[in-house]
Amino acid sequence: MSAPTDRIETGGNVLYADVLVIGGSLAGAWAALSARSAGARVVLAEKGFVGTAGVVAAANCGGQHTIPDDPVTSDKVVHSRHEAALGLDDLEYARRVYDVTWVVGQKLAERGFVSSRGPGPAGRRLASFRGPYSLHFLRQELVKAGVVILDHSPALELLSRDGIVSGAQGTNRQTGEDWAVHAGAVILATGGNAFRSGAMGTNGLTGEGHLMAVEAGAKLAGMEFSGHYGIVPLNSATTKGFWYSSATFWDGNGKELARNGWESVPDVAQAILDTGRVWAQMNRGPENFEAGARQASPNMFLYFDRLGIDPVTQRFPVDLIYEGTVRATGGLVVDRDAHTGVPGLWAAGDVTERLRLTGASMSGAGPAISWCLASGEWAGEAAAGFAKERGKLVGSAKALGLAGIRSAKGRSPQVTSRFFARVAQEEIIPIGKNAFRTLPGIASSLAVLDQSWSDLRDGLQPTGARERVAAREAAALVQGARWIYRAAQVRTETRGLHRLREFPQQDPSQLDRIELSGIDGIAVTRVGCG
Amino acid sequence: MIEVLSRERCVACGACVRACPNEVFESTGGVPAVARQEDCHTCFLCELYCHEEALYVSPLATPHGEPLSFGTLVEQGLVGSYGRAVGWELGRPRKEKA
Repeated sequence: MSAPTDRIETGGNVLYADVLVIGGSLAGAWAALSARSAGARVVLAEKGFVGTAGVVAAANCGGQHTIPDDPVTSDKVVHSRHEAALGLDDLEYARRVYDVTWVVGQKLAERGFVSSRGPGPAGRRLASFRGPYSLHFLRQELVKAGVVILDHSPALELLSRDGIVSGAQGTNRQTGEDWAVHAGAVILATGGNAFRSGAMGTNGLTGEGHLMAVEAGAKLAGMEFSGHYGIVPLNSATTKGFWYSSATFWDGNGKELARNGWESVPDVAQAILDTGRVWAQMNRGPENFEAGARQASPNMFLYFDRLGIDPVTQRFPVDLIYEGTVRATGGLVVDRDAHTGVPGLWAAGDVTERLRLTGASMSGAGPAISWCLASGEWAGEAAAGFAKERGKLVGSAKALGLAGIRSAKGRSPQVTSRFFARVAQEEIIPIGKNAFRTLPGIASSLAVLDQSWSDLRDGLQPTGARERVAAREAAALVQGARWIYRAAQVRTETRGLHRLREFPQQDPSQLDRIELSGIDGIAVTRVGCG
Repeated sequence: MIEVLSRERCVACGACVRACPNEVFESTGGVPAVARQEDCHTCFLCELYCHEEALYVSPLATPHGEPLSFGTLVEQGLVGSYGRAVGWELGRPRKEKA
């Protein structure tokens, strides 16, 4: 049976649609289904494979939502991250997100989605995602709905017509063939930027969405709240930090650390810097801890089972892996409809800022999943409406990408993508530079990164599909690090995921948002003081 | 990180080439090649999508160096263990009631 795509026009590798979604993990898949439900012809382009790409597919995670006839539970959900947000969240906005997550949960259930059975009354947990199953399910729904899926097809740059974003073009990493999608509206759902740190599921999350959007004129916010590192068993990629709230930690000298769980991340980081190694043992859980943890996070136990470690009775070495803007709060500024402010361009999921939900702290788990669904729902509806009103595309398409695509001064053989990616990683990944920041350290990193930026912008002009993707990724990695440190430099305090050694306390006069715009010259604006 | 592709079990269906989000595998016409092990982010998802249980992903994020014995891993019950834990078989999620 062929799917009813409503005539996506194709000619070679050129497609015409109403809405193009870039990125096919949870937010992008739901945005595509939402736009399709609103009557749009939709193309979904994913760098990897829709079903395995992104952090959700690699993990199990539960979204949270309000329940219409249960105000007590609903209030608890809305306030769940309020204290941790440290004054930068917006409870009215959070309620709106969690209300819509309930609605999306109903829609998922109607489609036949089986939410994993967690604690709580039956039918009251609608958005619990066993990652591999969930993304497999959504792929089937996309196919049934007639969304055209382009797998292994990273977008390299946006296209615009008369100042309105009108599609994108990219390449296929397997066939080497270029593609272009001309569309009345574009939704970016490319995820956060984990800087190729090796964290579970994040290899494809290198920040091109941020770069493409800012090239088109979008803004970023909250990029300084990006000093988060996931706790992992040594040399594992599996960042399931929740279970470490049932752990005890010891430093390299055998001295017990004061805190457990996510709150221990700065202590673990300091202990690694001071004593070289940290150990953990999951010995503080309830009676049925292991059975519950195995059911909820089977991927974490692959490490223990395959290496023959019993994490409940044995101490094992742990490490920290940088998670960039993935489990943090920084990203593209969007309005209440998930619009970026750039005509024709919406954004959903981790690529956007999540300050209003979780403020200065982690967006991970519950809020991030809810946000993927809510922002996907809004972006899909709004983009479909915009494309419908816009009608047939007129004017000629202009490509918006520069760095890593069109070099200002021509190809320089000394300049390689791999080199620049490593420069960005060396400035942003080490805990000594980024878990704890210092003003001289930030200035020194920025000097290196600014130089790299101008070198790659002027010299990098790759050929061949894989090299062109790598060049764009390298540009996004360097630029992502520049954005993070430019924001971090002006927030002269410590708050949540931004820790500045010289200013170890919160400053009540800095309850504002730091917004960034621009590529070569980065403009920094402090917006609204609470 | 992907460590073993069993040539005995592989039927060259290309499911791993298709499913890997990082293009770690490459089509060769026959048994796929593990062409870019360094790009593997240890998500274990290729194990699920392989309906022959011909793949083994080590839980370590860096290469082992020495080759692992697939036969020993099978004996230890480690091949396909992720699929059993998350309810997958034959390359897809087991059907269950809503």
